Amino acid sequence: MFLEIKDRVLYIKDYWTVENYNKIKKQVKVLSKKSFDYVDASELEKLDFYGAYLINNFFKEYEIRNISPSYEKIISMSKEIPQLSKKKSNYLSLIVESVYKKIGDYFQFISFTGEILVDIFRNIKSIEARTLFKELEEGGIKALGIITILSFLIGVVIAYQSSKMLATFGANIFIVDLVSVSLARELSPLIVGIIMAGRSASSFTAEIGLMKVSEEIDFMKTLGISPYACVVFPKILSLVFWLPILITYSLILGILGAMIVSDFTLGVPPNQFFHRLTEVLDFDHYLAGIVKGPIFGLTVALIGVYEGFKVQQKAESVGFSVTKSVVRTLFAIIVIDALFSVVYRWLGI
Amino acid sequence: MVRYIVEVENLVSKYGEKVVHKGLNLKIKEGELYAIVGGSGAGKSTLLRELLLLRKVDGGKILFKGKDITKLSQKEIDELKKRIGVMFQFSTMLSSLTVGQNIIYVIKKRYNIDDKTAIDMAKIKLNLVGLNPDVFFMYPSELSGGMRKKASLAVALSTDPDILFLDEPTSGLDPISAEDFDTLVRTLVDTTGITIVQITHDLASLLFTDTVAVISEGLIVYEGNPNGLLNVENKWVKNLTSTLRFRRLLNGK
Repeated sequence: MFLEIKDRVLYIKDYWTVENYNKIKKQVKVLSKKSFDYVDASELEKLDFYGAYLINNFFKEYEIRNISPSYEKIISMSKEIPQLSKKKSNYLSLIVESVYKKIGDYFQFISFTGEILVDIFRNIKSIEARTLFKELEEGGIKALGIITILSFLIGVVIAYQSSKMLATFGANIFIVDLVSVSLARELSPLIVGIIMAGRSASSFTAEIGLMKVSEEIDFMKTLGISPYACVVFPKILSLVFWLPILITYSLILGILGAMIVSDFTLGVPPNQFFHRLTEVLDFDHYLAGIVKGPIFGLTVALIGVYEGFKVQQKAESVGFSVTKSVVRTLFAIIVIDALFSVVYRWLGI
Repeated sequence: MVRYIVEVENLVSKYGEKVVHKGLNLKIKEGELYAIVGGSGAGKSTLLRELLLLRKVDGGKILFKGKDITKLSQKEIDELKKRIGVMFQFSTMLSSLTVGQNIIYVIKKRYNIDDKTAIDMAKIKLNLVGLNPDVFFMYPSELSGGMRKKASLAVALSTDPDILFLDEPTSGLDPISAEDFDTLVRTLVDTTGITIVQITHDLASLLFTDTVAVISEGLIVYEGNPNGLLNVENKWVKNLTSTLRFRRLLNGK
């Protein structure tokens, strides 16, 4: 029992602490307020803020006698509950604000790109070959494994999915047209672009973001080293250099996958496949795909780096920025790819 | 009669071959402000991890209110953990919740207390540590270092624990904020009767404490009043007390 009424005096006793809060509250709630004149705390074993909160809520108008000074202090400390003022916002202003912020972000990105380019040209001499080679290894050679497997599988899947339909029409040999042109123009650039968005954009953001958090970027600036020229430029160069090569590589592997499937499911032997391939796959098709490479590379590198530089000086923001950079890069790559389709159509390529 | 909240007896801890504690003994009284000091690598953080049940001891006993915590059942450990508050060195809070939500979450998770009380209690605790109520709606990443320390203290105090562990609470604070923090800790001990154990490098913080324990070479070489440090015959303590910073502090007092 935490309460007892004797001779119109309410004795509060035992432990009025957080463990017993719910039990005490139940007892206090059923108490008839007219049955006592004042509260006596002489039998109280322990009081914490939760007990004091109950006393403040339920015995506000009563005098509390025989209370130790330290308990009295706890009661007075928990008496004051500050009011919270939450900003009320209407939806229209929220929408306008977010749209304004989005547009501002695009302008910021453009000005960042300009700043980088100017800075790189100004400091072109301070670029080190060592970092460039390191980036070339990171950006291209280490990506070969995943591109090999995925491109091969994409070729296999397309050939497999279309084989049934083509066989119904007896158009077995047209598997070559279908696979080669679609891979060369659209799929290989897109696959490589998407892999790079997941691989490189995220790692650029994380790397530069951490350099910002640990003040390494500021340190470089104070030493007179341009972080754009020394850190950013090798990354951009590496991706712009590698993407056309990787797209070509991906195309070859995709066609290889399709060739193997065609042999098994459509009865098109590799020599026939290859012969047809030389007839249908014009250099134009290949060029239409490969042109996207440097542009995708530039997009991936710039967005990854931009999000990295946007990291605040707090470790938590690195995680948010990495997610954002991957999503934005994927978005940008697909939009640019769509633009290419429109332009090609327009030019009649 | 003096009641001890934590008693450590012959504690041994090892990392592989390396022995960190070679039979360490200490006793923390209920309702005192206790400080643990020692050089870097002396095993302070290991001791804290063991007291917080984050690491198993390799030998000896740790008694919490007379019960050996190495021999408790999982249920008893869960109950015990509810009575312990902790503030880590980098004032860790749940980063996906606002400061208010952090406090409310701990209160509701531990004691299943109704919403209104939990919210009021969060406001009371923020007020208690001297923070503006606006902090309630802010995320930990939006706070400055000093505010973050105080917010983290409010989270640690949310369920009125019996004992509170602070790992280097004043590191990274400016001298004025550090002094404020020390005063706040002292006031909490004096008014609420909570036991606070702090690991500290800050010599000025020691002057606020009731008991200082010095760890050196795996043992407690001194446990007592901070003023008594001057008479200790130990190399590390001698080095500490002969530093200019320490001398100046004592003279100032």
